[in-house]
Amino acid sequence: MIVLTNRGFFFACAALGLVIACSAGRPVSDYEPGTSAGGSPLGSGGSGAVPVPPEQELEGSFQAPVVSGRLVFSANPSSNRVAQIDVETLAVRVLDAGHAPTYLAPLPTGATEGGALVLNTRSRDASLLLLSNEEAGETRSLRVPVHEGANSWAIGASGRFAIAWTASGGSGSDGHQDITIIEPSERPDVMQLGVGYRPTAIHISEDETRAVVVSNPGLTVIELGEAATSGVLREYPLPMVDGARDVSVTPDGRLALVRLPGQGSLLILDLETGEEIAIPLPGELSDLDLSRDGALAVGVIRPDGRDDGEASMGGADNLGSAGAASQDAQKSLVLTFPLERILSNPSQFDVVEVEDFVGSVSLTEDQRSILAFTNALANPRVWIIDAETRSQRAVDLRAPVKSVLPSPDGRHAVAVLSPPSGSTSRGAVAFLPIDRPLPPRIEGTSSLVFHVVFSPEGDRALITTRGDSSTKSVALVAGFPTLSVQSFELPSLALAAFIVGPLEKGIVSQAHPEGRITFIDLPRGEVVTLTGYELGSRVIE
Amino acid sequence: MILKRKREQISARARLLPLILAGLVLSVGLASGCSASESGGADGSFVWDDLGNLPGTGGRSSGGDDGLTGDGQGGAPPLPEEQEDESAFRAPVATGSFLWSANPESGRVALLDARDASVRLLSAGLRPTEVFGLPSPSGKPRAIVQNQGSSDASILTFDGESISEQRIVTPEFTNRWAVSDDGKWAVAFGVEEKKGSFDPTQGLQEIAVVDLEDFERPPVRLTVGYRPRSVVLREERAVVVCEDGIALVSLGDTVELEDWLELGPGAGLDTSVTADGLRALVRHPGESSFEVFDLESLGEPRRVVMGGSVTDVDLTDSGRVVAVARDAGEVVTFLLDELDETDAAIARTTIDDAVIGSAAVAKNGDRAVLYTTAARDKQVTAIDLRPGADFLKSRKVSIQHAITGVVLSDDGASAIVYGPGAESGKGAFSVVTLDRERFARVVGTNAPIQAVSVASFGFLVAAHSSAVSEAHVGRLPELGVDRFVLGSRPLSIGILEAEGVGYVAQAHPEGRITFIGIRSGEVRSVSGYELSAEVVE
Repeated sequence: MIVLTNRGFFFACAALGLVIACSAGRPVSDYEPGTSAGGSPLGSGGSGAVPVPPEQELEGSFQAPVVSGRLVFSANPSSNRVAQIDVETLAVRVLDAGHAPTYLAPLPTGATEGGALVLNTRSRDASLLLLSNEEAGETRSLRVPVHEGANSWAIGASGRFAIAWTASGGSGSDGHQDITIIEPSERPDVMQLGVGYRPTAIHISEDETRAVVVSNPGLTVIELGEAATSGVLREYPLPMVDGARDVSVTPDGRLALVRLPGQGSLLILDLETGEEIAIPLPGELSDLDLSRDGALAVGVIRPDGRDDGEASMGGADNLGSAGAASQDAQKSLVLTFPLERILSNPSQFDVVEVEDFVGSVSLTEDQRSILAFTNALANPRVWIIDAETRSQRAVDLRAPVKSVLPSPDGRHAVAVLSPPSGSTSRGAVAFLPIDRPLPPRIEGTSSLVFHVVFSPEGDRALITTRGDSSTKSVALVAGFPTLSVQSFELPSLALAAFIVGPLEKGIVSQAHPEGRITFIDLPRGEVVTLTGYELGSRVIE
Repeated sequence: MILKRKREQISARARLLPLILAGLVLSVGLASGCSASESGGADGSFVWDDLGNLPGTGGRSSGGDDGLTGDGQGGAPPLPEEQEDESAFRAPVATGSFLWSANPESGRVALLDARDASVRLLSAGLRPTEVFGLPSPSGKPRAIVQNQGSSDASILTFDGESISEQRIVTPEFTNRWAVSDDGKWAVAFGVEEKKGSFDPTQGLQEIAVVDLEDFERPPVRLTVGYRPRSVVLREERAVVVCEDGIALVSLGDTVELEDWLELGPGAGLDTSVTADGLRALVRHPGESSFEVFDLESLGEPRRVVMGGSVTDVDLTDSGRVVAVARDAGEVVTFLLDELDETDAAIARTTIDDAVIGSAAVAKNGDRAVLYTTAARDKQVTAIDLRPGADFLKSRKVSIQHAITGVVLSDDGASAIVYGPGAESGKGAFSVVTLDRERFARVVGTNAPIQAVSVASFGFLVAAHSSAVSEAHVGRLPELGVDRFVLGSRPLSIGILEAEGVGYVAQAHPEGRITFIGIRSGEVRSVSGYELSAEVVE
């Protein structure tokens, strides 16, 4: 299931792993009021205490180069070109695109041999860059019309379907309700459809027969098939509270899980039958995470969201490492929802009480561990809960947690932190073992952490920081399970980062008028920077 | 070798190196002293009046009510925590009769022969700073020099003719090495020497494990807990004490972090590990008990309860444990090997009319000195730990100055108690005999004390300020003390027992070491040896 939640790009290629952007300077989301948001505002506190802000979903994507297989595609809106760089040989091929190619997305292999798609913002079309021979780097460029204002992509797992849509931002009454469905091929089929006002996400089912569009009024279910048969199947209105709502869709496209702020329930909608199930909960969910296979959902209720009055806040807004006293009043609930069981018996969810303030949750891909933390308060602890035994332990990271990203193999995690009190670092990260009770490793950074990406095997992570006029961008390469860290200074502002697993290469694209990409040989720690590739003449350092 | 004061000095838990050969005795680095209220004579010695007071002290008793605060009675404010003087002192390292000395300024390492003051030089990496001795089964003097400027280390071997070097890349901020007794394994790690010198996000968590018998094998980098404190190496295992726990590293064909014992925030700051790496003693400030962990089973710890907050726990190489609960005036002692689930092996006593919060125990576990750094109780309590009729027998010794730390000779016969002097910018130390009842020999120094080294036959104390650098040499058991002015700031000191010679390495662009005959008083300084033209004075 591929999800695009923001303008920009979200990397679906399996070779890339999980890509997360984290920056205090970035907006939490590009959502406008009235669209779904990751966190939910509190209802009235009732206790008179200062309300705790909502949790933040610090995930994002970039208008940046993409990787498909062993090729990096980098678009230059000014030159109307897309550079294709072979990661292994550094051979560069410059491809013609439309007018102002801007928004790139990788095209998985499957339905085609792979490649990339790019939206040309000034020519109202998209360039399909289809690989015909990856070894030789031969790529064919085709152009298809798209609706005006397209700035985002949703692409199916095999690349059979790609949907261009418009993630809304800015003012005005335009609903951005057009989407363009493309079947990338030598003779691409194209269809335009209308969906709900201001779409915020598009999910394509694993079998690529359905697409679910999340928009302001609700959900639009689209059948994907031949051009003649594709179309809107049905639409479901969904409530919002104060313009906020969070929707997760299972990978098979069958179920939608809807979380509403201030509501002590979870709504599950069967997208085939339209049946709705409202699951009563002991409080308001502050976060919900869905497993990759869609079989399990994990949620968390913060102490201030509980209905049972078991845990009122002590008014503390800083739960430092020594905040043991304030912890006594903080009891959060972590809930697991086995979806098949829930559908037949809505009360059959499991609850684990955590004696701490947590409000965000993340489930490892192997579904063995649940990571709970909060970024609404300055809490340095991450709780690791065994999904099977319910045993739990806290890991103190010594600095407030902003985000926790588990590795693909579920054995480790990277936590992005705010610098602790007394630190002169501008950012910090921690690397923590999940599968064993070993100590985490904390590293300060000279600039804000910007990007975290894992290798597909989960044995490495590439973290970039984003410098400013006074500090450089840095790439950190972490190795697991040793928690080794290597640091590389980048010559320019980091834009995006990738790991090409089979080639064991880390790639960091950077801001440069003629294009700059740094390639890091991960096992050896050797660095090569390619500059000026768009000019056809390149400088390799 | 450098032995830290107090706990680490006499126990294995913070052992940086195995004791080097037979020649080296305790050598201790100290922080600069603070002001106190005593004055010294022209030669740095004092004369007692009939009342046992020093001139100018106005007849105040030395221990009872002067400056004592907070014994918990009468509403006095509570005393602060006892202080550990853990300033690292980078001693030249002695291997037999040879001294290895690093000069960060010149980038050179000098090997001096204490017998004839001959010098051999080697250019090491950038800013060679710390030197650590290595066991040498072959008998050839060996040492590791940490090059701070190039983040690597030089492993040096002298074969009688020349010095060979093996360079190893080390983790950033490495300033310590721990070496196994058999000389096979060495661990490079970094320690925060001065509180606050590192950003909170700098955990110094990376260590390097080196196989000294196979330089073809690259060092293994591992991540341990936050801010390592010490490393103990035993066969097939390294025990790394960190600020919040203990990391257990397996050594062998595979080197990896195999286990982690979580102790809680800051608990590692007061953790001792036995020389065999099998057990750890953990004190949590404020608690009236301390814990003994079995590092093999990692099961629940054995808890030893005392009558008040435990303020110090000491562990010697011989396995003798001495713990102090200051508010209760209680001392507990036992041999670790005899500790079982009952309290049968635990001996307890209370010390009256004295504030005791810290203990310094002789390496052989025969005797200890009890004292406090938290109150100006100008006395120490000597206590006998030998089995027999005198077990736990104690006596108080007046010393006329506040206390920063205590160093005992290996045989437990003598102790040097040091601290601030009577005036600001001065220091003082007292020589206390433990094997017989004598008055302490109290000596004022003209500058804060930098280092103390004690052997069975004598001692060496170095002091320094911007105005003066001096060394005080004393003879045991006579308690005679002589003062010598040094040409430059002392960097480190030690005693070569076999030679009967003390040495003081000093700051000098081309290197300077002063050798002082402990009993003869003969002084010889070697300067400029790095220019290959040595001046022997």
